[in-house]
Amino acid sequence: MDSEDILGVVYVIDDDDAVRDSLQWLLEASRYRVIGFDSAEKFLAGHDPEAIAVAIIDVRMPGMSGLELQDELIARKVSYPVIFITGHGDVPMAVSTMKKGAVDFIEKPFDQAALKALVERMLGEARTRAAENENRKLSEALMAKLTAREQQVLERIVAGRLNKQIADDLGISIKTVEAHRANIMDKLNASTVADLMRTVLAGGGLRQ
Amino acid sequence: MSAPPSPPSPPLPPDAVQLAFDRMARAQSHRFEFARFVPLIAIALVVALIAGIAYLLVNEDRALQRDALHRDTDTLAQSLSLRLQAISEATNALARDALNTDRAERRFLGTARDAMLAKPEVVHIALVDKSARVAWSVASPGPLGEAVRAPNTQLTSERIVAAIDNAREAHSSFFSPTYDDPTGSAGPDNGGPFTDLVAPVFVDDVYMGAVLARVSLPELLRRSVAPDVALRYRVSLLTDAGNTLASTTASETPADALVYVVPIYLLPDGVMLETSAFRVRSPLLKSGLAWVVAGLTLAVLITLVALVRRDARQAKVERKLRAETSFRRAMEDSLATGLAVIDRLGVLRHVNAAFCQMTGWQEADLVGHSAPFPYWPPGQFAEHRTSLNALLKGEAPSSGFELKVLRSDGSLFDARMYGSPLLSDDGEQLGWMIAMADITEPKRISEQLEAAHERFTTVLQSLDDAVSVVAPGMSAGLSDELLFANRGYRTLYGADALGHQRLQETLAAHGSGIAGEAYDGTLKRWFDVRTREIRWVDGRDVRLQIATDISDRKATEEIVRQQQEKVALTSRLMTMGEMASSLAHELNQPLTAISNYSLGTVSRLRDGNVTAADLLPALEKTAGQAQRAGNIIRRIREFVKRAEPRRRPTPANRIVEDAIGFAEIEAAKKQIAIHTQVPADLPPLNVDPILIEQLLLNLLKNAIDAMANATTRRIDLVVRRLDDMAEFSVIDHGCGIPSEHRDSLFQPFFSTKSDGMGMGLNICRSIVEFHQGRLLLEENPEGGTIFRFTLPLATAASVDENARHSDAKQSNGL
Repeated sequence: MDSEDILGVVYVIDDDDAVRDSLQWLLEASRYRVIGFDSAEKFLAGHDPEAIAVAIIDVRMPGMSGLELQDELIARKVSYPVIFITGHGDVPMAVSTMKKGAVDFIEKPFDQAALKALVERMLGEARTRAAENENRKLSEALMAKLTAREQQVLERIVAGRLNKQIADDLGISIKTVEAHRANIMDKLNASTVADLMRTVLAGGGLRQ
Repeated sequence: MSAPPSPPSPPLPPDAVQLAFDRMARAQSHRFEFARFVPLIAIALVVALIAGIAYLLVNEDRALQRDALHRDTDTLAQSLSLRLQAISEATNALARDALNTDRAERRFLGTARDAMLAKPEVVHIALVDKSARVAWSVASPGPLGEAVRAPNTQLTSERIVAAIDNAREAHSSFFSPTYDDPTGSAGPDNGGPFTDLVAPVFVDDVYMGAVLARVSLPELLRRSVAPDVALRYRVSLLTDAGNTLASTTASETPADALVYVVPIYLLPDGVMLETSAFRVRSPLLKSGLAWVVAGLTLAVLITLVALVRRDARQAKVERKLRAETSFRRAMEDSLATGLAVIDRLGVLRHVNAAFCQMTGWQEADLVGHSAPFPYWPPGQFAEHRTSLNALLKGEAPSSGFELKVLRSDGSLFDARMYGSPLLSDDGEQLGWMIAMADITEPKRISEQLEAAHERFTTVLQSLDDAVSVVAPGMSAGLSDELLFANRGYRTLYGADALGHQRLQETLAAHGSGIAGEAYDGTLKRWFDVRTREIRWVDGRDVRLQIATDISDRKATEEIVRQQQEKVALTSRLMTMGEMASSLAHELNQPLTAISNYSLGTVSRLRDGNVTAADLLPALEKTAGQAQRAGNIIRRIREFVKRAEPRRRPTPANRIVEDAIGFAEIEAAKKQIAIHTQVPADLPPLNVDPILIEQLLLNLLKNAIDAMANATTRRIDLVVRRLDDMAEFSVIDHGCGIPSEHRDSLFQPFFSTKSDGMGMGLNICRSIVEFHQGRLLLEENPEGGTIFRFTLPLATAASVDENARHSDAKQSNGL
């Protein structure tokens, strides 16, 4: 990953060539890396789902609309924040899109400062999310190493149960509990319970 | 049209019932009754007796007659024989004395004459010598005498000669065989047949000759038969061959007459004497007593015949009566209806078997009693009495009385009793005939039916739907008959078939005529109508119609439709808005692009380190976008320009003609006439003719639509001059515009019409006002609406104005 990738990429999806091209020009003046697509389909085919990115999507497009694209990204579990370009404000649309996780709207013609701030914010979020994702994946991988019994024990540790209680719950000896505990700590690279907690939380909670 | 004559009906089969009774009656009457035969036997005996007596008497009579006959005949024969004997003696005497004396001839002749006088039947005496030559002859002095056998004539007849020989040989006299002697003057009627008595003359035993005495047999007979005998009998002398020699009468002996024959020995040839009795009335029959007896017998016979006939007639009548009576009794007894006869005073005189059976009372309980009768239930006396009184007064209704009847076992049943006068053969009223029928069962059934009917009626009547059954009139002119209508129908349409028909016609006009929705213009309601052909109770094909009032539903539907219209309208608006917004969006694109390019360029310039070459593409693109925007603007402007009115002087009548030309087609379709009035001297108008045509067309179409139900089917288009304007009036006689709509009439999208676009009047006003005119509407006092608008006339000044106006527009780059 190069520095630009770490910074993030801005995808611009708009069927109007002039608007897309000019927006790219504008954003590149702020030294963003911009990749443009003239249709939602092409974007889906050509984007990097893993990248830290923000998508600026025109709401009104022939073929797959901007809103449909958002749905598609959610379905594909792509976590980009989305900025919608609208020609006119539409409150119901805004509410529904916001609920789904899009972050903001921006009207044409664009206020440069506002646009930049927004992009910046979005990319920050993207980065955050990416990091979170990363953590989660790690945690998940770690947690996957646990056996079922170990998961049961971990569950109770996270719940704040004492070893004795855990032993009683599971019908095993304290010694066994302590042994499990040691194994868990080891597997999850945790030295303290706090670490354990963090790992568990990052993994999105325990799988039930 | 006459039907062909039907073939003669076959003879009816014989009345089997009547025949059966006849047979039975006949069988009964054939019983052997001895008594019937007694008179017959008696009569027969009497008749036989009388006949026997009569027969005996007749027989006796005949016997007597026969005896008499015999007796008389014997007597007669005797007398005949005596006479013959006498003659014989006389002749013998003559023969003895013939040659004995002197003057023998004279004495002979004289004696002969005397003898013949005594015995006229001797007609001739002659003496013949031994060679049969006549010596002396003398005829009788009587009428029969004839001078035959003249002396000296030779007797040649062999018979006579033989007789003479016989006599000579026998030395005694003989009668010769009989003979006829046609010779002689009298011919056959000379007294024959004769017989000769031949007496031989012997002198000292020497044959000297013979004396012949010719005897006339008829005369002999005449003389022998006494007159009274001759009256009683037919006496004849016959030969043994049966030939009549002589007879007292000329008449023949009938075959059945009593006859007696006696031979006369003296005479030769077996001559016989026959006597037959004349039929003599039996003294018996002459007897008055016999007549009386006969008469009585006859009377008895007649009486007998009459008796027998009467008897037969009686028996026949009796048979018929018996048959008839049995028949009637059988009828009466086999009736299920009870019959009773009440006399004029109200006394029960007769009941039939069924009556007794139905009521359980015996005849003895009923007959001879008067009201109250045993079959009157104690609690119902009043009703029974009332009906009885009515009956006795002759006021019984033909449908009878319905009463409760008490049986002998105490149970009750419902009965219907009918009364009718009982008349004798000659029309005299003898009393009353009551028929009683047990109606318990029919009553129960009728009550059940009524209950069922009521249930059915309740259901039907409580339906809100209008149910009606109509029989179509058989021929034109006969109205349809309403056979049934429930309350729902009657409430709507009353009691005739018109409502039904109206709905039917509407249905037929708009569809299949079997089912569908129909609007009743009279009631102003919508109905869902279903019809069906059914067969009515009397066999006719009739139409059942069920009409459900769906006016509410229709109203709701109408509201829904109107709302849908509004939605459509709204969407039209939206489209317009969308069009505008899309236009706005279109413009926004290049604008955004320009903004982006510019801002980007500025940013880069501020940051520094950019070359002109870096910036050039962006700036060029900017310019391009500006052009793009310009094009969009141009397009809008062109669009606007196309709708821009173009005014020029136009004659009013041309506008009017063109507008009418379009409107007339629609007007003609709706039978509306458009009348125009345009002053011939009106100067041309300074207008955009296309716009004014559109305006007029719009107003005319509105007028036509308003007059859909008008009676006066005429639209007037009147033009007149008002100073330097022309005033147009479109006058319709339609439904007019209600006051509540008047205010909103010119609002865009407003319409009272179901298919109205609602843009018409607003645009009309815009057009008029663009031309510096005014558009007003007012109420037509004759009903309807008048739209008036004014348009400017073309003056030289206004034409210049037009030119300048359009130039200015062009120069403004609009």
